[in-house]
Amino acid sequence: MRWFTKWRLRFQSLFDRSRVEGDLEDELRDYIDREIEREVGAGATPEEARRRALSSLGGTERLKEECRDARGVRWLEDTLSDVRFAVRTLRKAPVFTVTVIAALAFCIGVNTAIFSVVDTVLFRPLPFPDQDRLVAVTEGVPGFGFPVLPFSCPDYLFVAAHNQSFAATGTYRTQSYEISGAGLPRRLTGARLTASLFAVLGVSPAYGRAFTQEEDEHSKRVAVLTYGFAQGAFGGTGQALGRTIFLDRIPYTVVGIMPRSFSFPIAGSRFNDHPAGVFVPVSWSGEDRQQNVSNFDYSMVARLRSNVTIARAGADVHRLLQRVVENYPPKMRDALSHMPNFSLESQTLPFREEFTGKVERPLLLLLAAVGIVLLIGCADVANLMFSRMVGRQREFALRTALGAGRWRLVRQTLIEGVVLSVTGGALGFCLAFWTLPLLVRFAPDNLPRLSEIGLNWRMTAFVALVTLATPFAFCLGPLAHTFRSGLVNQLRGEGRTTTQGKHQRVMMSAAVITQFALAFLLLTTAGLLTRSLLKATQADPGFRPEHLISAQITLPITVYKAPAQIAGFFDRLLSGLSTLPGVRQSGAMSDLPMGSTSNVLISIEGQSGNTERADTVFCRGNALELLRVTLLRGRLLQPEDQIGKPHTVVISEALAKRVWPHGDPIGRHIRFGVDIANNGEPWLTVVGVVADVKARLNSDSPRSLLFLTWPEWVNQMNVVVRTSGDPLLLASAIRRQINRLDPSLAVGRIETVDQILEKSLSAERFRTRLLICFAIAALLLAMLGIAGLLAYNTAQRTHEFGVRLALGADRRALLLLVLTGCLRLSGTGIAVGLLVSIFATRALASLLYETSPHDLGTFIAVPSILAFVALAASMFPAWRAVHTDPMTALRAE
Amino acid sequence: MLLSDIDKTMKPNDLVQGTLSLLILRILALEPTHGWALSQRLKQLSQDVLQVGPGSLYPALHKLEQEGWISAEWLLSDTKRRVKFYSLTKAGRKQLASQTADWKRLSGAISEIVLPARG
Repeated sequence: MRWFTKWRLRFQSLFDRSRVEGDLEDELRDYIDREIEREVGAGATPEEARRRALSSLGGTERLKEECRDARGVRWLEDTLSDVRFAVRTLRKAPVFTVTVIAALAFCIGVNTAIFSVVDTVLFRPLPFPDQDRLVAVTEGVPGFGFPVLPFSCPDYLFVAAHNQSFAATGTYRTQSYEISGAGLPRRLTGARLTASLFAVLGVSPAYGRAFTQEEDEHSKRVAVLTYGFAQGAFGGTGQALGRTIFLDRIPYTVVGIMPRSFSFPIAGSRFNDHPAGVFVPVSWSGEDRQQNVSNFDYSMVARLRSNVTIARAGADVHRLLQRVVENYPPKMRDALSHMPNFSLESQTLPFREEFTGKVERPLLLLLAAVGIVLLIGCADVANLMFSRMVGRQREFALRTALGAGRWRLVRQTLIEGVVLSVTGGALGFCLAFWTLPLLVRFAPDNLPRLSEIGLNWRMTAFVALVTLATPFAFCLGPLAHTFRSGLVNQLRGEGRTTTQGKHQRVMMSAAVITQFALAFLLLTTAGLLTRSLLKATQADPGFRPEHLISAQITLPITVYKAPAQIAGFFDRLLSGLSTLPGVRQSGAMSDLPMGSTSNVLISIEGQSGNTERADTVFCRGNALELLRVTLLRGRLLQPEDQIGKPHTVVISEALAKRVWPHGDPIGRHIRFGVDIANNGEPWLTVVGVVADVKARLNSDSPRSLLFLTWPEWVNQMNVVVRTSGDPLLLASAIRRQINRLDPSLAVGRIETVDQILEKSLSAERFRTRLLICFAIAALLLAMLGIAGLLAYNTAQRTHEFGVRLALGADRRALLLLVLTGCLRLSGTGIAVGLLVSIFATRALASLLYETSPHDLGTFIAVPSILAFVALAASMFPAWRAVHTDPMTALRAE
Repeated sequence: MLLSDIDKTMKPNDLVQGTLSLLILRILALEPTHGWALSQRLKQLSQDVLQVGPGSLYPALHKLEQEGWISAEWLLSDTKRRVKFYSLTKAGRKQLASQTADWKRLSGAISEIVLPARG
């Protein structure tokens, strides 16, 4: 309570000044009156009594002042007047003030924005209770080239049933659904979950309920919606509960709606990485539970028991996986026993590492970059404040001579700094507030936890700290110097004629050199990333993507039950599309070649025991010709390659080189599955080899791809059309064509292939653009730094220049003097930056595509840019030096 | 005032620092009172040795009020004048106890040195 009284009184003294002053007046008058009464009582005349009473007070005004002091408000009043004074002083130096505030605002703003993104994605606890007990568990078959995989259903069930480490386990997989019954039919990512997953995460629906274990086991058709989906589809949570929605035309009853903040799976996860709009029971069939041992689809999440460490849990899972094969179907067990390469491994990681792995490095790079911008900016502010303080030493000396206390001067200076930094900080905070939504909007989709990003207290504390530290760091030095160098000297003006102390000059030069070195590092980083991005954009994807448009179609197998129905649909669609004006060619493939993730194992005839992994693409019609993949040997698949005729396959160059490094692959045979006697898969004949097709433009490991004719049961196809004009113009015509055949069919994304390729680089593009921005900012700030220092040096030496000129020095010599100073500073900075960058850019290697971290072009361009900028910055000070008027310069003393 | 008076009376400046506040707290512990009465009481109780003028008294009172050890209340006197009455707060009572203890220790220590035990 005491502090409350204290501050109440203090505020009263500050803001209710007249009352407090009146009270003081009354109190003292009361004393005087009583004193007079006493004196009169003792026999003095009234006049005498009054005189004595007043003199005992020793001066009312002084006494009042002391009382005000005692109330402890004087420092507050003084501070307010100091603030007013500081604002007045700063307004007299608008260029200085605006520059400093702008630099501070920018640095603090971008740091705050980037910091809050990085903080949310990498450091903030997940929005699940006891989130540090959550682990992500994976398995893997390193011997077959799959070190990390989600779980298969039998393996998950075995681990879930027999482990001793987890309080609860759950699993999920995402799946694309056609959703109808809630607005227009469309495609939507859904997730199939075990009922236990809600409990594992510790989140339950905000409305309604979650589905139960029993509903899961009995394959009940119940669904839980996300808040956003319920809002969008039904206009509210109340309207959604109990409604029926259709997933792939199967009715599901909505039983629950998740809280608004719930987003799952978390974007950017290693597997099943799209946030779902609807959650349904996983509802495994008996076959799933026992037979499907090679469908690795299910991401496993578990909650550790309270006394179990991650390492122990990992060992537990690993031990179980060594035993799981015993429960496999005999055929599978037999097959695996022939394969020495087969062994199940596992990884148990903190759940957050499920999604931070891919983004950690780039995000930390961004954080480092803005940190560097902040350092450069702070150096600017430091030098500007420093040179301003040095320029004001005479003023300080004069004020000291007039009786200002040192503490008072220190405070005045600090308050000036605080005014600057608080203004800068506040503007920076606004900047962050405005840029953060932009940052989120342009961030790549796979950035985890995008929806959670917002200004938070950590960041506010961070801003406050930076803001308050700045003036303390930069104001006191020059002032201490003023006091040290002796006020009398200052007053005599010696502080002006002699250039400032050596110590100071070294400090300021060091700051500018550091700025240049840091700017060098940042420019190099941005340069390397840009070059890498350009290389990736220009990379040959292995086919001709221009004028291609693709529509994703998944036929619901509940309606399209027979393969003939599926085949009929696609045949009619393709022939319909080819009649559209502007269509040159059309075809269909199960996946676009860069998108395929259907990993299979294949065995090779004559190479027993050798298994390879490959991605498969099923093609319909002249799809390969349509893509214009480069044929290296043999021939492409043709419409005549029908099922039932000898099975044919076209393979990618990478696979050909791996399997037959020296021989001709044409006419050789491969088949799906491992090489064992009871493998019932037919042999496929290799008829052609095509150049590698990239998964992402910037991936450099070539992929093993198999192109096969389309088995008619494949219900998910990408219809690809090559157009003569702008492919996007055909999007709606294609959609109409599809819905003419099946009006209720939800068509997935219709995108040009160029767009899809472009999207594969969105993360790179995002971070490269940001880094370019930061590098430019660093460059500008470094330019400001050197310009400021040179201008300051020139101003300090005006007198000297004047003398030189008066003694007959050539003006060109002065120009040279300034330019040498500039070159010495920037040259040193560039040299240091070069050395640092040579070592530091190695850390970038993993982010670069076909670009050496010591890329010569970048390492030539960056120093040139910096040197140019330094020279440009020295123009104004040089001009000032050359145009020094000797008379004015000398008279200034 | 005669020179000899000054010699005999002690100004608060000469007092050990903090002693004035101890004295004020002690007197206010007896009963709430106003500034003038307080200075009179001080004079009385110390048999005219301690004379605290308003120049020291009022800043000290305001400081104690600010610290929250004493609180003030405006009352109307018989002559209808506004009079500021000070009284000890709970925190002030605690402060008085601790300062008294300090004083005992300090004065004891000083006496030990200045007035060595005879015999």
